[in-house]
Amino acid sequence: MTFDPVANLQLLVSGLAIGSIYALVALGFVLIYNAVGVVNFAQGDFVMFPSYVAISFLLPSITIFGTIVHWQLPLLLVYAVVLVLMIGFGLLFTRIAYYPLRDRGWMPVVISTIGVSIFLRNAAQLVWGSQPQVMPSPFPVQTIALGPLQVRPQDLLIIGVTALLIAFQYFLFERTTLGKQMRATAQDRDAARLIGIRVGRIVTITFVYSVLLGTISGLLVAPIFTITKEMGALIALKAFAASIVGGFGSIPGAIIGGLAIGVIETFGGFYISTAYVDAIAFVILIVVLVVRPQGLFGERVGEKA
Amino acid sequence: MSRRRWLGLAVLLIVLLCVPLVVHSDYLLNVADIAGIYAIAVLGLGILLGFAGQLSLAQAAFFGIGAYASGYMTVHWGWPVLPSMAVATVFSGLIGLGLGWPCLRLSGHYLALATIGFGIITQLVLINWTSVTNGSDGMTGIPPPMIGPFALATYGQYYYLVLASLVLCAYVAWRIKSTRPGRALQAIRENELAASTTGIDPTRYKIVAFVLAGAYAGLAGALLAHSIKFLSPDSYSFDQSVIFLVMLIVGGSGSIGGAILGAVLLTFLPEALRPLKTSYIMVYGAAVIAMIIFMPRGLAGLLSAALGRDDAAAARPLTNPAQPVEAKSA
Amino acid sequence: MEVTRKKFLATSAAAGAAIGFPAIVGAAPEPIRLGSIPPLTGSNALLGEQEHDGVLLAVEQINARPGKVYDDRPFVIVEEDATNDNQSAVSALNKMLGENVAAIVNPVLSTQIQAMAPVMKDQMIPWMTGGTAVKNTQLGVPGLFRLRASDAITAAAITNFILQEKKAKKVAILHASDAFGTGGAEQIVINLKKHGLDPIVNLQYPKDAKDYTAEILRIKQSGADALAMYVQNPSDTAVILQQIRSLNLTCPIIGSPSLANTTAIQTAGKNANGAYAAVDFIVGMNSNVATHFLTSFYNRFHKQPDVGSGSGWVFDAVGLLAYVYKQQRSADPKQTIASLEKIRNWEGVLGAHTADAEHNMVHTVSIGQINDGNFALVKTVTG
Repeated sequence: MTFDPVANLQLLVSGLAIGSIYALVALGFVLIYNAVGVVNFAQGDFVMFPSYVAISFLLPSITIFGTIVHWQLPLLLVYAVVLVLMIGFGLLFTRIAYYPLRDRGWMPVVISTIGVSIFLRNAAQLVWGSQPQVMPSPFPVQTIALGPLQVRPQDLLIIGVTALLIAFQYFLFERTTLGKQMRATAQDRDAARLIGIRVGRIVTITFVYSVLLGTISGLLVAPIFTITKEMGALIALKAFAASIVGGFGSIPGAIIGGLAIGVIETFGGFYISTAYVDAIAFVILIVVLVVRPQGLFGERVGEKA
Repeated sequence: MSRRRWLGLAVLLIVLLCVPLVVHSDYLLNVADIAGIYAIAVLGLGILLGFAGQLSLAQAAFFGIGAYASGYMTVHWGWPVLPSMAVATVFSGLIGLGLGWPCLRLSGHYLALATIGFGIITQLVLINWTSVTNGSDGMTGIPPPMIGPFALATYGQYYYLVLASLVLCAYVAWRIKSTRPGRALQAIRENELAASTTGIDPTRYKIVAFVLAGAYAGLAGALLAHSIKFLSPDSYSFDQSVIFLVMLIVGGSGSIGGAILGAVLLTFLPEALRPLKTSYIMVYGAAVIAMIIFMPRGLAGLLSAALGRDDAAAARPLTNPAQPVEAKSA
Repeated sequence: MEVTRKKFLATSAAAGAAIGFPAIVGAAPEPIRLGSIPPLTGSNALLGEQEHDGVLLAVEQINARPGKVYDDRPFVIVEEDATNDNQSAVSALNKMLGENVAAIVNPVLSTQIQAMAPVMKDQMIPWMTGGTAVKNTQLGVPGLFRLRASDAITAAAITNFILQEKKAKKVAILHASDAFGTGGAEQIVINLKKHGLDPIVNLQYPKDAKDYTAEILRIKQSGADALAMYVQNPSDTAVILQQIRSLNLTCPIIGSPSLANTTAIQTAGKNANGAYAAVDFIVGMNSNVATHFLTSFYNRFHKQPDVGSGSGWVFDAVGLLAYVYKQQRSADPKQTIASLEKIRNWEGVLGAHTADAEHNMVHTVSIGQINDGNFALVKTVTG
């Protein structure tokens, strides 16, 4: 294979776009993990479910529970409705799947999130049926020519919004009181409580924020994928792997891990094998776990006495 | 175990032996076979997770490895079925060793993730290594087991093979649990560091748990292969590992009876709910959440409490196995 | 009008006889139990829905005609969910076999058919299947009939079209990693070899892959002048077509029947324009039966039926069974199998049905071109 710079740039753009989605989902994982010490297996479905909700209000007609309804709303209103509904969902999720189990350690919560994932996927099928849904693209054109490159505008939007979110995240955590409280709670819950931080409230806010990250990912990615009940599954697993590779518990790690896996996957598919693409992320994962479990940016992993 | 308990088990065994004589529906016998097969796989997971506290989500991978190993040996090498199954079991156990060894230093989420990765890679290999597995097209023509000149061809006949295997596996698990290795595993589950100070080598015992989990799942896979006589790689996905985990949790992760109960219940339940068609799966997901919240010790724990038993070997609630402390950077 | 006593008595006697005749002859006509095992839940639920609808439509139409199937006997559908699990599909089959069905329609997934085959080997019941893997009819199941063109025919049609109509020499293949995709790709390779050619590149993509940049760029780089696609999932298909357009891959595309899947075409929108696909049936190939099916399906379910693999063939399966039952005035399974073997040129939605030695019924495939959600017939191929 000859080295073709245009092709490689193309691969880079696609890789960064899919990597951004992994990064956003990984970010959601890491925030929840930092706050309560648990990995949320339903994070991928936080991408899928809001996409379905959004599409119900974006399309002129849609089938809900077998009957056709017409709930179309203007675009901005749709985003607002989805955000409100998903905040509500986040609160519900915290209260039902996390709260009753919060003193029982991590495994029951992990299993509870698995239950949420199963429930959400099948609820989606029950409500919206098995037909894949198409979210209309906000752009009038399919591709933009940037020099010799043919780029999907949606890919550029994904990369752009992710960059903005990362900046926002940085600002939130470093410059605002709320952010600092979230960091303190994540670092040491008991100490945070001692200095007067309302830990329960902060945990809830962290969960809701994670759900919102998933929601934004879903709205970004739905126009280029199609919306199916399985759309979140593989993304979540790869984002999971990305967060470990980056260093579990590390926010920059999650982001860089996500981008890295997206790019390596895309290039790997081109140069090595398209069939084994899914394996690439997990081979990297296993190698990292064996050689350097703390990942790129994490702290050393020790045992609790 | 108390004499009363032995008697109870003996009665249960006699009842189980009589099932194919009384039940003639091929459908029900087939489901019973599958329930028993799943019970073996879940029992293996129970040793690893319930006894040793290691969350593995790769059980479906070993299920597949055992199935394809036995299938390959009988179809391509013409080996007789029962010895093939035995070899497949050992082979799966060795692969379990291969997975367990590098994962020794890992625990908690890291271990779970490594096992997920292993499971996904295994499925991809099953799909793509077409010269061995025939890939997505699947492997046909897998023969039924022969005992002398008799083939175990009907579901009723196969039932006895599954039952015998299950009893053997349950016995082995019970021996482990109630003797030193079992207590060592449970100590490791509760607090690995403390356990190591009492002279237990956690490494050795964790490896054993991985090998057994792999072997049990491999045996189950081989049994299923020779019952359906067809294999395809899409059955051995991460979702299947999750199903095994749910069966274990619902049944009760610390007890042998719990693992078997969970598998049997969650095999028969979807069949019983067939008339509900699509709605039942949602109920399934909601039920998982409800179970873990309200019945942490699973059904076995519930039954155990109802019968007023309180021995140390009863189902333990799913609590916080030893997990690493990571200094978090925001 | 004068009613004479004689007339009155005659009329009463006639009326009495008309009312009493069925009572004298026997009870209400016994329904014919028709088994169907679509995948109603799981990852193939969309396909299952189409198959369910196709069977339902056929049964309703037959039950509405005078005489119903024959002698006023109606069809009654006995349906089980095959899910997407092999052992669950086998359980569903076992359950159904205990329910006294005269014939079974479905599945269409070849892996499920092959999983069920060991059980069906011992049953002399007509089994109308839609799976296209060549091996299905070679498993030694006496009652199995295939009601769609096998992969061998479809792949030959696609290959010939590429080589002769499109005059291509460097053929790229892109296929899904599942049984359908790999089986189809294999058949295309076999057919290319018959013309002394090898594919210039043969790429497999994993299911649910979301990004096909790598695959498409490889195809571009290879300089292919035609692309044969064996796809499965409608949602994956839509993304592939979109990326093909956005990455500017311009060679002609010819795909498997699933490329023409209604959902895939609708989801892909403009991106599907210009692509060709080999399909089960199409308006223009067989205007009466197919058109009637398309309109009645739409009127009944308010959505388009699938021309790829879903509802057309099951409609034929039920129709063919009804035809045979009516001819023999019986629903006896063994007799039906023998009658099915003798079928010559029965017109269905998918065209002429003629049973060959391996119980394949359909030997034609149509190549059509997609434009703005519509399918235009280009060529019909008989294999």
